[in-house]
Amino acid sequence: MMQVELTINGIRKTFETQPSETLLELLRRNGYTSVKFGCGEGACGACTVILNGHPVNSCLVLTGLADGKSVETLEGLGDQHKPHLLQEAFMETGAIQCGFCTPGMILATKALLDGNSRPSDEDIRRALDGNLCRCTGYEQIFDAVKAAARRLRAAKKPKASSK
Amino acid sequence: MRLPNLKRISRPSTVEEAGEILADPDRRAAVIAGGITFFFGANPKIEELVSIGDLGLDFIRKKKGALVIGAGTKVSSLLASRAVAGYAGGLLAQVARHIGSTLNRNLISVGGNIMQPFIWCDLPTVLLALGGTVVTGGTISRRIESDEFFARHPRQQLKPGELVVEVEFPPLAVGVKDAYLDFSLTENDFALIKIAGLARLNRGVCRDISLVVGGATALPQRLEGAERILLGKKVTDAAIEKAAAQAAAGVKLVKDIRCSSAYKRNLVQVLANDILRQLLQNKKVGR
Repeated sequence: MMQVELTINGIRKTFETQPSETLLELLRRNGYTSVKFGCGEGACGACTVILNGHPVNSCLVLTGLADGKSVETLEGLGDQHKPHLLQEAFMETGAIQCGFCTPGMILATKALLDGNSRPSDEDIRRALDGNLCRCTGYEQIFDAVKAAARRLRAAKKPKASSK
Repeated sequence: MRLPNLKRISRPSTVEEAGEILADPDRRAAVIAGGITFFFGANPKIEELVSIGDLGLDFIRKKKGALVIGAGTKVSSLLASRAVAGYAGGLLAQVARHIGSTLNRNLISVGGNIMQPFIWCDLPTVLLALGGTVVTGGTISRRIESDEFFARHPRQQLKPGELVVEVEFPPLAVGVKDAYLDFSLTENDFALIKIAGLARLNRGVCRDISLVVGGATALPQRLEGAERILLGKKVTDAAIEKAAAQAAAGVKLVKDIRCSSAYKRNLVQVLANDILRQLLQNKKVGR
C-alpha cells in the first residue's frame, strides 16, 4: 500500500492506494462516479478528468504518479439541483442521450473554454477528439460547446454601470 | 489488472538516481514518463516503475538550429511551442498533431513515443527521416544516432541503468525540403501508414534524400532502395515512379487486421510517390 495526496475539486484529501491502481479506479472507489470506466485503454474519453489543468484519460494515470496534483471531476462543477452552465448547455442542446460520455465531454469542453473563449469548429473538433459518443453523433455536442462558450462570454462581460 | 506484481513507484530527483534504480536487477524496474502504456499491460516482470517526471526533462530548447527536447516533454507541449512551430517549416508541429488524441497528448511524452515505436507513434518516423539523435543518461551517457537507435527495438538498445533523456532534431541545411504524410481510414484511427522525408535539389539533380516509412513496419524503416534510384540523378516523373515502386517492393510490412498486405504495399507506393513529388517537384498532394 502507498499513500497519495490529491486535491479533488479544490479539497485536499489523502488516500491509501496500491501502486498499480489507476486514478480512474481510485476516484470511482471513492464515490466520484461521474468518472466512467469505458475502454480502460485511453481510447474513449469516458474517464476524462482535468489533471493540473489538463484533460487526460484517468485510466492511463497511475495514482502514484498523480500524488500532489489537482484533479477536477464533474462533481466539482454542479449537480442536478444546481447544474453548472456547461451542464445546462449540454442539456438544452440535446447533446445527451445515454449520458455515459457526457461527463468526459463536459470536462474536455471546460478545459477548452478555460483557455479559449471563442473556439472555432476546428478548435472544438481537436479538443474533443478523444471523447467518443456512440449515441448522438456530434452535431448537438458542437452546438453545446458553442452555446456554453457564448454563455461564458456573456457571464464574464462587465455589466454597464448605471447612475 | 495492470502490472500485477508492481510493488513500488519511485520518483527520483536526478537522472543518476533513476539510472541506479534501473540498473539494479533485483528491483525489476521500468521507466514511466507519461501514462501507463499498452507495453506494460499485465507484464508480471515489472515490480517497480521509475517516474522521470521530477528529473527536469520537460523542456524544449533551440541549439544552433537544432531542437533539443527533453524526454519528459508532453506532446501537447510541442503543439504549444513556438520553437517547435518554427522548426523545419512546422514539420514537427504537424507530426505532433497526428499523435493520439488531445487527452492522450497531455500524457504522452516525447521519450515514451520514441521508446515505444508502436504503429501509432509518429515521432520515430520523423526522427529517423531527419537524422536526429537520441541522448541517454543514467549509468551510461551517450549519443545514439537515429539510424542506429532504430536498427533494432529501442528497448534492446539501452543498457541496464540507461534511459533516454533528450531527443535532438538536427538543423536542416539551406535548401533542404521536408514533408510528412499519413493515411488513415478515419481521422481518429491510427494511420495505416506514415511516411516522412527530406530532400535537396540542385539544378534539377537530387543531392540529398531521406525517405522513411512508419506505422506499417515493426520499426521505422529507411527506404534506401528508393533513395538510391534518385540520389545524384536528374529528377523526372519516371524516376519518381520507379523510386516509389521500389519503396513498395522494399518495405518490410507487419500484418494489420484492417487491411491486406497487398493493399498496404500499394499504399506505400502511392504515398511514396506523393511525398517524392512534394519534396522534389513542389507538388502539394492532398487526399
